[in-house]
Amino acid sequence: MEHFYRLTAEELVLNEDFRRIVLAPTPEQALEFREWTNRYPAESRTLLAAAEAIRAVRLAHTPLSETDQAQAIDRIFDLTTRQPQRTVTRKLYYWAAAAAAVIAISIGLYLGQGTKHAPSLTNASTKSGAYGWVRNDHARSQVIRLADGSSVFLKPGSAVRIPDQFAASSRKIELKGEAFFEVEPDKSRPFFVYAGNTVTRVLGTSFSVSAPGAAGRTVVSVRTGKVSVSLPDGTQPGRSAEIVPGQQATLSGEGIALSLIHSDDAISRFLATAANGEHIEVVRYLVSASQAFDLEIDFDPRKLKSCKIRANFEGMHLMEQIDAMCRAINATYKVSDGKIVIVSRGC
Amino acid sequence: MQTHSKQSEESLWKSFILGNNDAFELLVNGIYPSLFQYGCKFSRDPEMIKDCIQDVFLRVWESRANLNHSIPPMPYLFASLRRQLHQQVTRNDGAARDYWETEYFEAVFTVEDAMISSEASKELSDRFAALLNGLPSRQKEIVLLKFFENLSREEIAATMQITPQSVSNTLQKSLNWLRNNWPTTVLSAALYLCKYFDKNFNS
Repeated sequence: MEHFYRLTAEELVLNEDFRRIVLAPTPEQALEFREWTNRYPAESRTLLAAAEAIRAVRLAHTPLSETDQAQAIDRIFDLTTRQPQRTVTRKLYYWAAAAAAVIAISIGLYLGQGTKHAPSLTNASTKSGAYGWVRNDHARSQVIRLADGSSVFLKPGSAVRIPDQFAASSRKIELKGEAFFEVEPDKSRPFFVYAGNTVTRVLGTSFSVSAPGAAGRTVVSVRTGKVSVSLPDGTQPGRSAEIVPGQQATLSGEGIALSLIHSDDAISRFLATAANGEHIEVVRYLVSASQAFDLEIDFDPRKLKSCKIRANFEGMHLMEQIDAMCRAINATYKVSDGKIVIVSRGC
Repeated sequence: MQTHSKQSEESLWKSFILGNNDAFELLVNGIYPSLFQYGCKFSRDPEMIKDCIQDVFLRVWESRANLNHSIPPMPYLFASLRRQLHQQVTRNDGAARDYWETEYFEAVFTVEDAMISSEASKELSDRFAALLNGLPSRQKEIVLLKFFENLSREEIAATMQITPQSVSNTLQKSLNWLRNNWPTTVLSAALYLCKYFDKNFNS
């Protein structure tokens, strides 16, 4: 302590050791300082003035009210410690499964039905056996990329059987439950979905199919493009139908009934609004897509939060949109474990 | 500017990385004001500063499995915030890039009167604050980190992304300048006289 008494106030203010004793003393130092200044009050005046100056001179603060600070800190905790344990990338929200959705991409077809999956599973497995089926046991839709570039969005509890290789003249898939398909156009190889006892034939479109139970009905809805559906004995009158955009067909044992579709489902809403515009915020777009398709899309929102694109995705499949968007923002994506994973270093 | 007990920060940091969430919250609560005030030296937009601090803590949280628990957290967090702000500021504005190099640090030192109990220390404090405000940007930042945040040479180097040697050099230069440029007491004596007259003849 003594040597501090030989210094001027100016020297003390700039003295590193003295500053430390004033600002961050060990308990021993604090005690020693108090003892010295109590014992030599007159001689300590300079020390005390310097100590005060050290404490009093500080940066002009930009005011941050207690409330603002508490809110800001709360927000950090909401995103960290108060989060249920989760993986690094954020998962998106569930979307209430829309039955009988209408598809709005280039050509849309939806096969939905009133009865639920269990009977259809029994029905289908008697037909095909269990071998080769891919089943979605997750709570949300899972996406599967096919070798021809098509995608299947498999609803929870549903299963598809996909051949290792498509035939040269056709692409055939079997379905139990519900799935949404985005099919790459290929006129030489029509795409067939066998679900229950209905067959849906498309050339290139996106559609979903729900396999009916034995007495179930199947609803096929087409947004754009053309799709044909048929029941067994499809060559007989009334056992097959072509569905054009805006129509939906309800297939049952009695035959096929056509009606107008209502487009007020999540996927249609998404495709009509989210994918067109001057300043599409990528994060918002992905969140909407994830909700509309009830699909997990992994990405780092902090990386993408400043990404904006101008796009007109009308008439494009979801996977095409994702592809185009990733190109636009210089990101990459892959389909992995039934979800879409987007990797970006930010914009 | 608060001075933190390094010890407690380091132990909180360690225990957070080992999986203690309470330690994380304590650390955030403890460091937040300092980070915010530090951030204010680089930007006048408090919302942006808060966002950047949030990003810094989110990144820390998400990469906690890979963080080194034996590094001192303060310089790490300061450096992350500085980087984050730098990115934000220069991204939005090309001109800011040049500006960042020279005039980026806008600290203003003041005297907190509540801490003052005597004329002598008031006078000394005013001169000290005026002195610090005369430092150029980079020196001011180093002095702040050294004198007010109590960071070591290496920690300052890590924060500012310069070499420890250049921290030493700049710090030495700053100290010499500070020592040689104390505003003379004449001015403050004049101020003192003014106050004296004010008190005694104008009431």
